[in-house]
Amino acid sequence: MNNKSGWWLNVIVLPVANICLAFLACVVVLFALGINISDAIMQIYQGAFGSQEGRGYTLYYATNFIFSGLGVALAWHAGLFNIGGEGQATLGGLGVTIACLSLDGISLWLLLPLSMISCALFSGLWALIPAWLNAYRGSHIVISTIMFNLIASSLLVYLLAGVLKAPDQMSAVSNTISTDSALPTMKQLLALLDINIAATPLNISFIFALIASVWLYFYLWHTRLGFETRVIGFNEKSANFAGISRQRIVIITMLLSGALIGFIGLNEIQGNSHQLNDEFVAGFGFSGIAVALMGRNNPLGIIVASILFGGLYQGGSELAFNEESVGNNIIFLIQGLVVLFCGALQWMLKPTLEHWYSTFSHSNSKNKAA
Amino acid sequence: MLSPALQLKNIVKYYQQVRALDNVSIDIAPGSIHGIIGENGAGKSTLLKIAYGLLAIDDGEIFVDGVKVNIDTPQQAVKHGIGMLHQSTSWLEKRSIIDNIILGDSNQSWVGRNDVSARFELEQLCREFGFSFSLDTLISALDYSQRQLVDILRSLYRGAKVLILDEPTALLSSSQSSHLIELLSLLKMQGVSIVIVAHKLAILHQLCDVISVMSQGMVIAQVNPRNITMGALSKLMIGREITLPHSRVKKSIDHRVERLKVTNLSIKTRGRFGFGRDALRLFDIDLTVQSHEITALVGLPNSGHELLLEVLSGHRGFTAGRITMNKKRFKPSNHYGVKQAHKMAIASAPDPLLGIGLVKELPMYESALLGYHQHLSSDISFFKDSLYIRRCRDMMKLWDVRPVLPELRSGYFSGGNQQKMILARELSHNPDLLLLSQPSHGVDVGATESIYKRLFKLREQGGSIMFCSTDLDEVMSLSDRVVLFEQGQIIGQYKTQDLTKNELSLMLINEAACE
Repeated sequence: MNNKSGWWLNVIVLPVANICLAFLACVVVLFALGINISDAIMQIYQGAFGSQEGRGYTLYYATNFIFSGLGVALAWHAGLFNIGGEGQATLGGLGVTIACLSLDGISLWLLLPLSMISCALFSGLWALIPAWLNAYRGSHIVISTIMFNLIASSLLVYLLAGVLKAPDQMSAVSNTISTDSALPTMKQLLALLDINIAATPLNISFIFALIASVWLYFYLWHTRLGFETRVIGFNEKSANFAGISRQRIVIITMLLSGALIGFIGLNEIQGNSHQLNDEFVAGFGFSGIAVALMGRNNPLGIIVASILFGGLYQGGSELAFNEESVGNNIIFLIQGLVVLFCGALQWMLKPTLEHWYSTFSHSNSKNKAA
Repeated sequence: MLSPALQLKNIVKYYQQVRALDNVSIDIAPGSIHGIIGENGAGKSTLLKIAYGLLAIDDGEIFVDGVKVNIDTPQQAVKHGIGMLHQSTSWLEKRSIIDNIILGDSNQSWVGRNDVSARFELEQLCREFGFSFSLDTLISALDYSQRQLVDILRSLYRGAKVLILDEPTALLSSSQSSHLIELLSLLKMQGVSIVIVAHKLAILHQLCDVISVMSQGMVIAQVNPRNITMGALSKLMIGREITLPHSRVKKSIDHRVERLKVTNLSIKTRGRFGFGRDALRLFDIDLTVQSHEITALVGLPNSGHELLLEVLSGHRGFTAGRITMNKKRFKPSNHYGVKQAHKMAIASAPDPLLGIGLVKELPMYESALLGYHQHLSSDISFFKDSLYIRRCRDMMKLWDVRPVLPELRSGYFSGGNQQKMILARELSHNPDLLLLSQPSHGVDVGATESIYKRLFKLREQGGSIMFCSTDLDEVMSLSDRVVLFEQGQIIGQYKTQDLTKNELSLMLINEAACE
């Protein structure tokens, strides 16, 4: 829309309309399954936002979505489609586990930065290999990152079956990180301020995720490197003319993007489960693509989209718990529809909305003239 | 009276908050040549894009042969018999002319191709309009002006009754313009209407039946060129008469220094895998450039002069020889890149038609930093947006870039204003050596004049300028020295004041005859 004052159509109205459409589709499916619609919606809402516990879980899941959304968005700004989030998060978790287990017993103040650095290094370097292949050998970033997802999950299974396996456990999990080494939960943190909240897995990595969002904003729009990143993403020829090296930007961007996604491991392992298992990523790496799409690759948008996704995830599990006939699949249904309408079909309603807008503004101006 | 072949009525178009077209009405009579002139940003390109369905209108009506139509896509425009010659068309390089023309033609069946009838039809068109190329020639073998002719043939084959020519620069070059005039008069006799937008007033004045003058999104006059002189026409367009400034009036300067010296420079490309042709793309270039001097590099396309500019600006390496810039010596092994070039006060601006001098999606104030963002302290320092916006606004005012809106997307500015902004950026860092490619491609006369003035000012301050141009008028009025290239070699250097335009064009044509 080139008309004046039409910008908010794309930024606000369109995403909202997309979500409404997704919910409408959900309602149709739930209705077909014979589930009471208003009940279901109330359950999802109550589950996600109705109680302190629900809100805690929602934000806990949102943390994962923020990290993966930021990572995907950063790569997107350089014109790269990083769909290797699963693999990068896996390696991030591995990095956290190794740091926490080998440094067990040192002060948390020291461990915290070290485990974060280890996490970022593992996941960043995992993303570096496809980045190098793309920058210097011309291999396609989508193909190589998706292959690296498979390699990462095999690697994790291999390590959990051998080197990292806890000796006294039947299942493939690592040793448990001692509670002294775990990330402080929000409950503990707020207790320092004499605020009492329900115990949830929500931990300080949520704050870190918010800091990362602010950082990404400043990085992309207020630094030299971010400027170069955006120029590469828009027009490689212009970038080449201005003397910006694509190789350098691809390497740096993928390192940072991988590191951001890798922090899912920090939240999941040092924050909640305290031990490495083979399914902790649980699709969060992939959902980052949908979150970034819905958040328009903008940090603020990503936070909003993440909270929505977190709410759906948490509310959906609540619903799944109560409606045994549908079970866990309800979460994937809702998520899938939201991804479909907000991601794949994100421009579907654009012509319609613009048409309505222009008819509306026309009749308006005519009224004024009359 | 016949209804017009194409009628645009009360067209209104906005770019964001800028009103690009304000109630524009224009009638194209059948079988006429209709010229549209105006300064950069007057809305000419926008109007043509609307007629061809590339842009949607915000208000207004379009009539074809008196019937109201909706043209929302180029496909619909083609269906209504409107064809357009683009500034940059993309081609399948490795396929023949006929393949490229048939491609995407709706008369073709889904499976298989109906080559025979298409070939028959095309050959007939070629005979009729005097196109001399064989339909089986590969596109890659054609030069830019021949490609534009193929583009015209394609439009005719699709049944164009109205042909829109947006800046057919290559066809307007001095060696081709006689051909174009012939072709257009043939087209006219067949009842095809032609709409032509160009900055070369002289040719339009000679060619057109009607000329519409646009200014700031409005048609301000419609004249018959037979009743008006060239000078009056440019006065209508700009509001004053234009005489391109000449470089020859100048004092001799004693304190000249040697700015750039190129010795035995060669580029040898090696075929892949070590075999194939070992072509010399530049061979033994020896060239010295002084301060206070403007040098024109002239040659037929792909003669190596464009390559030399790319080497000097740091965009491309070389394989043998030496470059000495401000007494610093560079061999192929330690050749500078673009960033170092900027640090050494070497600035460059690409051919405006390539559109790579700025980033169309970024706001203008960010485009105005491009290439010089390296100079902004460190990697992690914060961009001070307000400072850059203010600087950009100053630059815009100084160079008369319109509209003066630093936060508007760069792509929304017209081609000429984009070029002014690029030059403003490059000149604002006081370069010692400025490298330009086709500095006035797509730039109107008024803007060209102000660009020339600033280039002369740079020369006065001691800068050296090197430029490539296919426009011999530009070479004659801008340069102090002409360096002639042929097949990657320098075949002659002349002082511009010792040459006439005719001599220069003869030298270029002789060169072509030798090939």
